[in-house]
Amino acid sequence: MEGLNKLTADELIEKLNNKEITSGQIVSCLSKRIKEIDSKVKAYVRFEDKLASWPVSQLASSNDNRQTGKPANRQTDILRGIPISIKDNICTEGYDTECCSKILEGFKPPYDATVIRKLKEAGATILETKTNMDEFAFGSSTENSFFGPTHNPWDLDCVPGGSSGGSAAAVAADEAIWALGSDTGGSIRQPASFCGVVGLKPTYGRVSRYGLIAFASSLDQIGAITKDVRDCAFLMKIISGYDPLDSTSVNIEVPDYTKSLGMDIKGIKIAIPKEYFIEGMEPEVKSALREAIKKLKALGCECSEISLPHTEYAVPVYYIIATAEASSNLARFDGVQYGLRYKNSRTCEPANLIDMYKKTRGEGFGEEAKRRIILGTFALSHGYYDAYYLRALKVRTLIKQDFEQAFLEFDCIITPTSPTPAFKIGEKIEDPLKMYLSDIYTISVNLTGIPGISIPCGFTKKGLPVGMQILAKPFAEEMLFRVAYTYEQNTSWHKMRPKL
Amino acid sequence: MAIPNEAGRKGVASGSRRATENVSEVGITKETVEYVAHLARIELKPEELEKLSGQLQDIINFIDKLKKLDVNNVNPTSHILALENVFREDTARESLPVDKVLMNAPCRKGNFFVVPKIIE
Repeated sequence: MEGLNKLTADELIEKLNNKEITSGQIVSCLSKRIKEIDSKVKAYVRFEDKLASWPVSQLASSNDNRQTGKPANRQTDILRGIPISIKDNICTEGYDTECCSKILEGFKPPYDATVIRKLKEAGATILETKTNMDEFAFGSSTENSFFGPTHNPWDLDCVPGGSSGGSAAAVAADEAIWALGSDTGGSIRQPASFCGVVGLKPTYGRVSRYGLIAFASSLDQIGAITKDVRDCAFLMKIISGYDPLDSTSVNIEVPDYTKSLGMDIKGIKIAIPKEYFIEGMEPEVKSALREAIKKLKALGCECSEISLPHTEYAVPVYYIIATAEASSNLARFDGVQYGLRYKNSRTCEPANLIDMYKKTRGEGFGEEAKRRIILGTFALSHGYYDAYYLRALKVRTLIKQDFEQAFLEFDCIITPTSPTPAFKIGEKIEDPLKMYLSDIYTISVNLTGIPGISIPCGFTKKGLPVGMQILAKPFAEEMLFRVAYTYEQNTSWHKMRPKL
Repeated sequence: MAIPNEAGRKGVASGSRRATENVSEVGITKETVEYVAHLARIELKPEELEKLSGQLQDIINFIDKLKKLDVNNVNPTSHILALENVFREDTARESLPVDKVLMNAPCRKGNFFVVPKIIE
């Protein structure tokens, strides 16, 4: 059976249920595609080691799941062995999970993340080879990976976005059926928009963070990256839910998100924040969004302009809070229990404890990681805590209030996902501030904890995808799916594929 | 909206950013960075120290725009959900077997992680 890698999970489940194909055949098609093009795209990491045994080890793991797995596994088998690709910061028991950082080289988690456990219980095949990412999710381009950048399947000279660039590129290039990513400041939505696929960050607390290697604990969420909105709704239903192992997860029932697909959107009130349509944004992004809004109006939505007055403060607030939290979360990488431990080349041992910490971290962290940890440590340090960290927390409240105000009157907010389409590899990497500013539309969503989805809404003349972001109030993912699906089904963006 | 139109920052899509209008009164010197790196237990090479000081100064200059806001009567948001005191029952339950805990140890002896001497 050829070309199964090009289908969506939903299409594959139908074929599996009708016994037209086996999950082994899907894995074979994926394997063939990856061997064919991943040397150009580099969506996956540490792939070469696995080439000889891949996908046999995957088949083996899915068979074990079926025949000899513990009773706790494979509870519903709704996924029937469909493979899923996982970002390198989500723990998979026994499979290398390194956050694309040297400091976690060789780390094999002793436990599964909750989302992985849920996927296994649903019958998924977890791909052992992980997708590329910016180291510790620090980045917006996947250029900060220890393994080098991923290349955008639509233009190999361009970035796929970040930090979940590997996952987004793999889905766009049909090297993955669907994938998990993580989003702290836009790391699912922005690469989804750069790669022309669907990416959703759920409400904070909707999906368990247990097993997600933490970047910023008050901002991180795991979410879905898929070829279309139906697959996204389906995957989110599987991974969402309360988890006693994550004290920040919320005990609210998970609706069947697929029931929102196909619901009428007449009369839905959409807010368009004027601060998100600015002079500096790329004109083709602006025009693609204007067309998308026209389409939504034609489908019966009521669109109005609003103001989110504190928008301009979102990036500085984020880069204080996120880096402060990161400086705390990354303190655990010290050479003691896992990963890299500095060895003096003469004596084979660090001289003392401080030496071990400093040299392990100095050697193991990349440039961006060091930059963020130092910035975060500074913001929390004596004498600066009030002026920076505490002040940022207060401005976060002001930003939150802007959104709360908007959602009193409107069902959702629509913005571009990014001010530009995918930029060239190397274009922004030497200028951290320029890179940070590219998160401008996605960042407030994490600061306020609301859910957001990015869906394709057009292409530039050079053939680069443009993404539209839809936001809703907390735990209103159903609204996102409802609007996104109807828009998608009345356009053909989701059917387009890069020529690779 | 100020961010992309700050002086020297012509637009998000393009523009050089050397001349930021806003200069923080907080000066980030090499000594500052060295001190903070020590707090963070990271050893920096001299060229890293040099580069970082400049970049961090630019970032602090940019972040300083937050000082323009009046936040006197605003409560900080450290946690976005209305969750408080999430506890579990104080009962023992199964935890990771020792072998699994130690399986990634860079240096192991029996059931211990081996580390350099802490107390002289």
